[in-house]
Amino acid sequence: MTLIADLERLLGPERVRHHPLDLAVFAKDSGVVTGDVVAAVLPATTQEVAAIVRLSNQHRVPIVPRGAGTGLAGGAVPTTPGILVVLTRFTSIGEVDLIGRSVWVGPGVINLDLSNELAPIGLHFAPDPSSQSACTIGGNVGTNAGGPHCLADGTTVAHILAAELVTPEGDIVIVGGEAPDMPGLDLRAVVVGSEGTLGIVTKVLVRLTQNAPDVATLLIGFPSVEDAAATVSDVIASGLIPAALEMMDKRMVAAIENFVHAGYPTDAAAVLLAEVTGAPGTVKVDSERISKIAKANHAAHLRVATSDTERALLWKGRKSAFGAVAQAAPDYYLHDTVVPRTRLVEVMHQIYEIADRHELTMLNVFHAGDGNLHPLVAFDAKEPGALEAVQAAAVEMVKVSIDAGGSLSGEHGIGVEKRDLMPLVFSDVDLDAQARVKEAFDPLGSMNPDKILPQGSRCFDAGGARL
Amino acid sequence: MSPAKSSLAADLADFRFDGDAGGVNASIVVAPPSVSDVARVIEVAASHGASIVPFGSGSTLAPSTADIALSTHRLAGIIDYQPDDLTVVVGAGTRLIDLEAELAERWHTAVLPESSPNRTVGGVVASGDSGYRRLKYGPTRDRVLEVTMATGYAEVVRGGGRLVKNVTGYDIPRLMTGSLGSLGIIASVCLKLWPAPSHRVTVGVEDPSSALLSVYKPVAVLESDAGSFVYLEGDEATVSEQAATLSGTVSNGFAWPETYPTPVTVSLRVPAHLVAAGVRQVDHLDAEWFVAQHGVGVVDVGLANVDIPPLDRVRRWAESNGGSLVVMGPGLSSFGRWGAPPSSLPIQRRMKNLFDPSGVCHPGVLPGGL
Repeated sequence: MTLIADLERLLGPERVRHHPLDLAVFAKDSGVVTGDVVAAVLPATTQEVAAIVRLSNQHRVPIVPRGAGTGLAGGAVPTTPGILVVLTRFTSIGEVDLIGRSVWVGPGVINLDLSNELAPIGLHFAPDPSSQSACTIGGNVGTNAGGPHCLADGTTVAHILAAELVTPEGDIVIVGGEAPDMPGLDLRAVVVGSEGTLGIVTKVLVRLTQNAPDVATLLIGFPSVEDAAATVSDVIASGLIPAALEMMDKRMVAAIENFVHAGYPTDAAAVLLAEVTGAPGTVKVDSERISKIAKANHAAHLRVATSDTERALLWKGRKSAFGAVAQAAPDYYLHDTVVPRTRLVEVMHQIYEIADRHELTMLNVFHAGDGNLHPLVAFDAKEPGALEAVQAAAVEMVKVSIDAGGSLSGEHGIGVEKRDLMPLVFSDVDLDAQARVKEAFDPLGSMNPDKILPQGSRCFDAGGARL
Repeated sequence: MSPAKSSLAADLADFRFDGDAGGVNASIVVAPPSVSDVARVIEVAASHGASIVPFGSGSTLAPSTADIALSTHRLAGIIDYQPDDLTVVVGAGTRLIDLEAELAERWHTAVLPESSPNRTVGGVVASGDSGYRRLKYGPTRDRVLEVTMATGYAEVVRGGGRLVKNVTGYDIPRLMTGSLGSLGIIASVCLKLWPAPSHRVTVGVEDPSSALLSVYKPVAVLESDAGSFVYLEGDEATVSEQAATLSGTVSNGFAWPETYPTPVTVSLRVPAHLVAAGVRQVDHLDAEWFVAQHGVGVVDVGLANVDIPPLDRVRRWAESNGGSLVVMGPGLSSFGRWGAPPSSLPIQRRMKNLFDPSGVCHPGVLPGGL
């Protein structure tokens, strides 16, 4: 029997998509990589996922799990012809444990839907990527997603207590637990951020965060990028970790203002969006401290959003940044390098220089507080050679970040897009150790193969000749 | 002494240490001064089919028996402190008290366990132990940004990076945290730091569960024989305001519960909503002391006299509720350290074999005898 026939017998024809139009839609995520999908399947239960995994193993066809497809690194794109397991039907939200502040959810639950659902009981799921109105919790687990508010709260891994995982061999296991520090190796921590290469997550126990009693959002305009970056450094050095500390350059501010009219100062060379949360007293003290530091660094424009409406508008501007870029060009390429926050200014200078030299249109909006840069290059992929130029500049931008002590990705993941750059960060031996993590879960290499690690990372066999 | 053992000792002569074995039952004690020397010790051990247990202060999951005890004390010291990045790279043998003293000069903290300051950073990371401030700051694991180690392959591996945010590759630092030296021996780590707030208070409360629900991000809510206490920190005005809402006795500073060494310490780990029920279970155990971490799900218990049947009943109660009861110290070989093995045991076994194929590194320490 063919694989498609087997899958249709398991799920019914409606949940096995292999029409050319479907395959074209599912062959991409939101990045620049296009893959090769044999069929996209839509299971609704853990047992169905396990059965799909076993079927694909029988037919020796690789499997790639996918949420909403908002990823940018190609992690959910099959690079060799594969079955795409789409988990958007796993939308259950369990009963909230109010004492433990946790809840079991399906991986297909949309990030923002979860926080909206929890708002009446004063809790939320802390990771808030820009795509939060579309991306799924399962996708967040896959990429160890971040977002502006990860500065104080940490990325997704700090908010996942346990996961039900269908292993590449089709077994169902729990990693982590409802109780802390379960006996044995912490496999939960490596599953989070593994981009679907270690198994398929079918249920997640997420940690919930208390909504802050009070919040203030500050919009600060600076005459130079240096002044804004110095403010970021000085705020952190002063012993204050704000809830969020975001930076935008002049071009990005102009694009956003044209798009959503958030009230950003278009004459500033750089704009900081800072948010402090806590008890009302703390919020007042902290926002005064940030204002003082900003003024000492020549802030020309300073506004504290007082109403919820005003705050929401400021954040709408930030979160619409990528939509706003669509005005500048039909395509964009978004970087995600991370550098020690004390090296922000020098790396920014180098990145501007690279963009200028390649004659690229670059806009910047990024998580300055934790040194996570997002240079965004707007271009038209239909122009011959445009994508190649963008990618050549991308490698240079990655290299200057790494030379400053940085890394390839702060929150988007490696996928296939940055896979071959991994040797810039890790030695052969380091990569081999990571390849052994993969092998421990997936001895046959059938689960989302060819992601994260460059080919040949596994340089010697278990029990091999090193000793 | 067998001929094989004597040549093992000779091969390790360069690293020999004449101090005690930190509670490890081993005939050879070594103290290599660098990560490459740690790898060299592993290589020699593997060639003799010998086993190694690393130790820092010797406080953690003893007793262990091995051919070689490896002290990390020559791997002590702060390697790279970046105050403005809030990161520090520190050698595994560094004592918590020495690290925190250095960090305190800049009003920083690594939020490592408070109760035993003589423990080492390597010991805390390898055991995965988190302190009382976990409710607010998360477990130790969330602060280990980079790890440099020698694996069972006698190779030097670095995982993670010296960055507060990083998703570049598989998370080796978090995997090593709590691995008890079973995959390799940690030589140094990069830790994420936090600013230390200016004001701290401890507030006595009647009902820890309702306190947990009413205060915004408390540092800890602990219960012991001495009562229940909420720990708050921040600027003075806010802390005072929050403390006032709890209407209990307020004292300045953090007064952590008193614990003391007992023949056996067990750690009961349950879903956080069962902590109060866990405290009631402790009544069956004739405990010398206990500390319950509300909102976290940990109840540590010190025992002088151990009666296995009730302890086993508490373990089965914990396991039937998705938790565990782990024996932290020596003295209970008949009872087993871990209880029921995890459902992921086949993966754990492969992971162990892929990092330590010769079984050099702390063999048998993980659940399932891995």
